[in-house]
Amino acid sequence: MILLLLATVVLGQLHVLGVAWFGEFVPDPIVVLAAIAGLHWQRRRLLGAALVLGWGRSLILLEPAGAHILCAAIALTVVASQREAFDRERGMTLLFAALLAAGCWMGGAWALGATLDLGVSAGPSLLTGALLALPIAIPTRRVVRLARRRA
Amino acid sequence: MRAPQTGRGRARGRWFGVAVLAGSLASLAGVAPVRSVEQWLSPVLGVLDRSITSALPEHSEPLLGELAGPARESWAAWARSVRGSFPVAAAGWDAALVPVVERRRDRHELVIAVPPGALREGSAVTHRGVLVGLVDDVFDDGTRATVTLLGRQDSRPIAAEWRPDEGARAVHFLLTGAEDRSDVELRVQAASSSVPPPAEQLAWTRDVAELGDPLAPNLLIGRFSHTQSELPGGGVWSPDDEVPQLSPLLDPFTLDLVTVEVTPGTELSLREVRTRLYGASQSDDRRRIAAGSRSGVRRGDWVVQDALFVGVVEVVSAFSSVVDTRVPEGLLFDVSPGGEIVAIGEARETWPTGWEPARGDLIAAGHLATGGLVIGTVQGAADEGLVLRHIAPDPMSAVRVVGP
Repeated sequence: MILLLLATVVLGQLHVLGVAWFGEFVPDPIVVLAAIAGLHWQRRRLLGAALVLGWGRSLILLEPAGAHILCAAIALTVVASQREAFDRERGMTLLFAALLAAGCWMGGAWALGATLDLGVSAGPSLLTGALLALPIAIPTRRVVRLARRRA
Repeated sequence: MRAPQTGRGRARGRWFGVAVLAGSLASLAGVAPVRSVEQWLSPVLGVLDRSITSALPEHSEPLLGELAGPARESWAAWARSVRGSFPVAAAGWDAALVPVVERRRDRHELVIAVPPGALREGSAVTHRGVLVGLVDDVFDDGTRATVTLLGRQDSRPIAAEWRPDEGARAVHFLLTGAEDRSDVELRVQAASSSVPPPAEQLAWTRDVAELGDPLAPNLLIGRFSHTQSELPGGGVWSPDDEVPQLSPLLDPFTLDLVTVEVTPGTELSLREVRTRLYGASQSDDRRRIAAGSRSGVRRGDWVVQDALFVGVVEVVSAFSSVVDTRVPEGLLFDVSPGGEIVAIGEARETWPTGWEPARGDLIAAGHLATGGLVIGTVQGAADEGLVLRHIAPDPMSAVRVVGP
């Protein structure tokens, strides 16, 4: 969990730096973290992962943590529910899971905005962020296999 | 293989889920302690923040230097105006500018920040020469005072007068409050003459120092208007049926800045904390500063960078605070390139009738601790109000947090 929090915060800060230089389409890596957690983490730990991802993101964006925790919980729950449909050994799976997480995060943010009149940041960088799944799919698979063997 | 979850583990998981959901909802509702707890992890940001801040694109706001002077002048003019164009303090007392820190509509009171030990009970509180109320009570720490506003039932009677013509004999009366606190009303009692005041007649405080009342004379208290009295059965209206009514000249709950009588030579000292902005933790309308309650930062404090308004502290935690960088509520100044200053609010309904801001006008605000501050320039006017181009702070430069 601590590693996930640090990864969320550090990658989020680097994303802010990227946006400052290149604009709002710079990929946001949060959706890849959400996809990895949704595909590979034990189900009973998913809520903890949602808490960490949402809280970490809210620290960067200075928005209510509750909004991002709920968005993360929706994204993780949906991705985890599709585990059996995904072939987790294939490289493209992480990309599809990240796109699904991005869609859920954006949908959750839209729903919160529509019902509570809250501005929750969930822009196009989440969709472009899913593309980051392509270069890290193979290393992620190796790390997951290693972790399973150790467990 | 891990052991399957036990019943106790499931129950723990359920409680954890309930706690996360409840905390999230409280966060969405803006519950202050929860929003503060959310920031506890902010020291984690500090590991990388300085490096990222120094790697951000170079900050450049060439306009700021040109706009700082007019912003300061607009605030100085406003401060002079709030002090009034004539002495608003009794003989032997000074009038000090102080901020309003709390508004209690239900009790018809204001709370103002004051210099410790510089007030007396009944010190007059004014705004642009208008008597707003009298100091009723000073808090135990001596830094704040309660002001009972004119018109409250239990406020003390005030000796007042109006004068029908220049050089004419003044009509004296006592100003008291109305019976019903929920509908506060200025009441005229014990008038020295039955001559009705003309419509729009102003009234002001009377010099009764000889009777032991130290209230300064000539403070404006209200304007007479006439309402038609009831005519049971429907009679023919005549001017004699009109009842003169004294109406307040301003709404005290809209005021941010007032004067209060203080012992000569005393000034309000304001808190000031120097800190820095986080470069890698920001959004369109929020910034983070690296100082929190441990450094003395409080909710509602202003954050400034030289002559630039950065924002108002919204959430405070131990080590960092979240700053709302939107236009502050309250008074703004539109300064045209020709130097004309118009006091406005952000919303269109606060603008003078027929007035529109021009593109490129400076929008400024002010604070007692800093003077006039630049917010940005006018981009246009929408149905809701001003459309601004905010001037962004430099993340590499220090900021000051100021407050009463």
